[in-house]
Amino acid sequence: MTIDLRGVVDPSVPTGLPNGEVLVTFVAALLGRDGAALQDARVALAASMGADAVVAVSIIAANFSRNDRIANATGIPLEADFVKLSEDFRAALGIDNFASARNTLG
Amino acid sequence: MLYKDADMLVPAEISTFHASELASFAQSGTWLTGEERSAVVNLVRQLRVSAGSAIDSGVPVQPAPASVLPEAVLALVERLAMAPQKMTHEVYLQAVADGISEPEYVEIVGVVARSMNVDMFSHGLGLAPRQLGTPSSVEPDCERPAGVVNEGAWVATLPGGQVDNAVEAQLYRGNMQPFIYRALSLVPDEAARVIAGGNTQYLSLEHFFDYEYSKYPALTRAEVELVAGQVSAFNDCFY
Repeated sequence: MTIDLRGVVDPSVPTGLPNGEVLVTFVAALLGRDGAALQDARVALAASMGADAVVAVSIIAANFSRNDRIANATGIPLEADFVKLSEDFRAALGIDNFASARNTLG
Repeated sequence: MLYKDADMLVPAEISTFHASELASFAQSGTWLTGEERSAVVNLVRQLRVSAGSAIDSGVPVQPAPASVLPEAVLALVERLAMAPQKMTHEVYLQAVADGISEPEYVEIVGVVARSMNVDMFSHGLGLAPRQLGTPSSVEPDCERPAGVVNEGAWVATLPGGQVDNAVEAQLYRGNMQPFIYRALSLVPDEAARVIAGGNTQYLSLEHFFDYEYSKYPALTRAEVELVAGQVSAFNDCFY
């Protein structure tokens, strides 16, 4: 299976994962401000992957919403090993342009 | 049961952890009273409801956060909760210049981030935020842990591998901890909860490099990382 990482940063790009679209749509709605869209996405996700997937995705999204705020608010730099490992795709995905990139890249 | 009104099955481990998190917001912390911590959480909830990002529980918030928290804290909480992409070093420096001490800042970050974790989960299931307990007015002990240093973040943190440091030993339990788990270690109770949350909600670190491993039968590891990556891209989180 070929995965297109661009789909991680751009919800309009298919990731190549079999359930990618329904997952991305739910997460985008969860992060958004439209309750009706979230409800529709929740129903679609449950229909495709089951109610347990709704619960699991909500747990993961919530966990990383927490982590992101902690990282952005404390200025922690990314560990050097991971900076090296991600060199070949970060720039292509625009991650190096995040404001928080300064905390690692300077 | 914390999520008895959910029409989906919530793992007991998650319910138990979230109940503990909710209780922690009403308790006094190391630098803030329970009343101040509850006010921070209530402010985040008000902001999210106003923005359409959360369901209004309908429970009146008393006292109003603005009557408990100074202006600088109100501004910090709003920025962190609603625009985490715009958290910069300058924002941190301004918060300190406006009278928020370094450890108070860390505790506020912890409370905002952890409360959003619990509330976003509720929102994912179509539920209103869970009720907070009665806030404590017990004065915090304001104890700064020994051994915190500048490890390259904006705030001091507690490095791992220290000899004869009881706080470090209890917090990290002999394991190398990534920076995200050391980020709030200036307030050890906050860091402990972040570590526990990661282990409970995401995975424990011994599984991190097992790319087939997922805590959740409903999701493959690739799907877990897609969700995590999408959230972090939305928040402009390089880390």
